[in-house]
Amino acid sequence: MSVLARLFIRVYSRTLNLYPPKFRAEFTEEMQVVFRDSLEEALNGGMLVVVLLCLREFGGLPFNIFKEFWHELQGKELIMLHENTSGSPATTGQVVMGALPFLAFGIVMIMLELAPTLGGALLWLWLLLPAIGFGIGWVQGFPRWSYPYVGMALILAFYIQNASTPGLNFFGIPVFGRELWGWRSWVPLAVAFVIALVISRSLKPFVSFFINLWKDWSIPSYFMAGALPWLVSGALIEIDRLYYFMVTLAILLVGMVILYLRSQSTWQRVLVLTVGVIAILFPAALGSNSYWLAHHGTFSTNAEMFVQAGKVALVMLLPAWLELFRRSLGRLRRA
Amino acid sequence: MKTQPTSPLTEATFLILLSLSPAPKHGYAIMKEVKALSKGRVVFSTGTLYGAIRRLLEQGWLKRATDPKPNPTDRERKAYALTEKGRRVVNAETERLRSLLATAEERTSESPV
Repeated sequence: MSVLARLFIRVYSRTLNLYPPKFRAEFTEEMQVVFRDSLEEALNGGMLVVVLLCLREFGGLPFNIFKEFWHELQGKELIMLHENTSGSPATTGQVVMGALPFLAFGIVMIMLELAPTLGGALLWLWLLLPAIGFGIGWVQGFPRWSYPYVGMALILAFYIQNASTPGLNFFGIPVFGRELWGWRSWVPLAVAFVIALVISRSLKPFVSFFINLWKDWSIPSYFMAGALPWLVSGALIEIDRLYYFMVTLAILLVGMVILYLRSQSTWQRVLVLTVGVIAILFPAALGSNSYWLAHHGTFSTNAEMFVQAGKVALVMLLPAWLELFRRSLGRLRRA
Repeated sequence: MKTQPTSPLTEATFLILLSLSPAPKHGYAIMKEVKALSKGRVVFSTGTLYGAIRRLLEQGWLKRATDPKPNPTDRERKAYALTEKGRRVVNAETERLRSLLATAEERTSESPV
C-alpha cells in the first residue's frame, strides 16, 4: 500500500474521533475496515477514482457527524421526556442542577455582604441563571428539576420590568440608572428561548411543560418555590447582618430541593414542600417584621404578617395538597 | 402478517434493506450491492452507510449476524441481516411500489381525450 493510501487511512481514522462517543464505540472500527476496502479498490481504478472516493468520504463527514450528534440529542430528549412522566427520583446530576440556583442564591447574598464587588459580579451571573436553566430545561423536555428556574425567570422578568435599579452596576458601570427596565427585563429569557428552540428544533417541550404540570400537581408548587429566594431577599434585604439569615435560609432551600427531587412518592414530595415552604417563608416574614417593629415600630403586627405569609404559603402549597387528595381519591376508587 | 411502513421508505433505506434480502452482508458488501442495485446512481460514503445502519438497528429492522462469506483478509468484519420485522417492511414497501407503478401504468396508457 502506498504512502498516500496509508496517509488517507490515518487521516480518516483520526476524523472518526469527531463522532459522538456512543457511535464511535459501536461503528468506527468497522468504518475503518470499509474505508480501507474502498480505498484498495479505488487504487486499482486509478488516481481519479481515489480522488472521487476521498471527496465523497471527507466531504460528507461534517454532515454525517452533525447528524449523529443530532440523533443522540434527540434520543436523549426522548428518554428524558419519558423520565419526566415517571415518578422515579432524580439522578445526582439532576439534583445538582435543581439545587444550583438556590445554593448560588445563598452564596451571592453572603458575598454581597462580605465582598460587595465580587458579590455584585456574582449577582449578575445569578440573575442570568434562571434563563440559562430555562433554556437547558427546554432542550431536555422540562425535567422536574427545571421548574423553579422557569418560576424564577418569569418572576424576575415581571418584577424588574416595572422597576429601576439605581446603584446596580455592571463592573462599575451603572445599568439604566433610574430608568425602568421595561421590555429589557425579558431579553435573557427571550435569548435563552431562541437558543433552546434552535437546538431542540421543536415546540414539543412547550407542550410537555404543561403535561408534566398536569400529571403531577406537586410540580406547580415546586415551580412556585422558585419565587422563594426573591421573597426571602425582599423580606431581609435591608436588615443588617443579613447573611446569617441568608445562610440558614439558603441551607433550608437547598435541603428542600434535594429532598424533593430525591423523593420516591407523592406524599414524600408534598411533605417536603410543605415543611420547606413553611420553614422558609414564616421565619423570613416574621423575622424581618420583628426587626422593623423593634427598630421603627411602623410595620404590620406580627399577627398580620403571619396571616400574609400564610396566604402566600397556601397559594404555593395548594396544588401539592390537591395532588395528594387526587391520588388518595384515585386509590379509594380503585379499591 | 403484513407490516405497512408508517411512511414511504427513503430510497437509501429501501436499497439497504433490499441488498440484505437474500443473505446477510458486511458493510462493504452492502455498499457495493446498493451501487449495483441502483445501477451506480446511489453510492454511499462510509459515514452515511453506518448512520443508516445504526437507525435500522435501532428500529429493529436489522440485526448483527455472522458473515456467511469467508474472510480473505485478517480484518474483522461484522455482518448485518434483516430481522423478521425488516423483511415485512421490505415486502410491504415492494407491494406499495408495485401498486403505485400499476396505477401509473394504467393511467399513462389511457389515451388523452
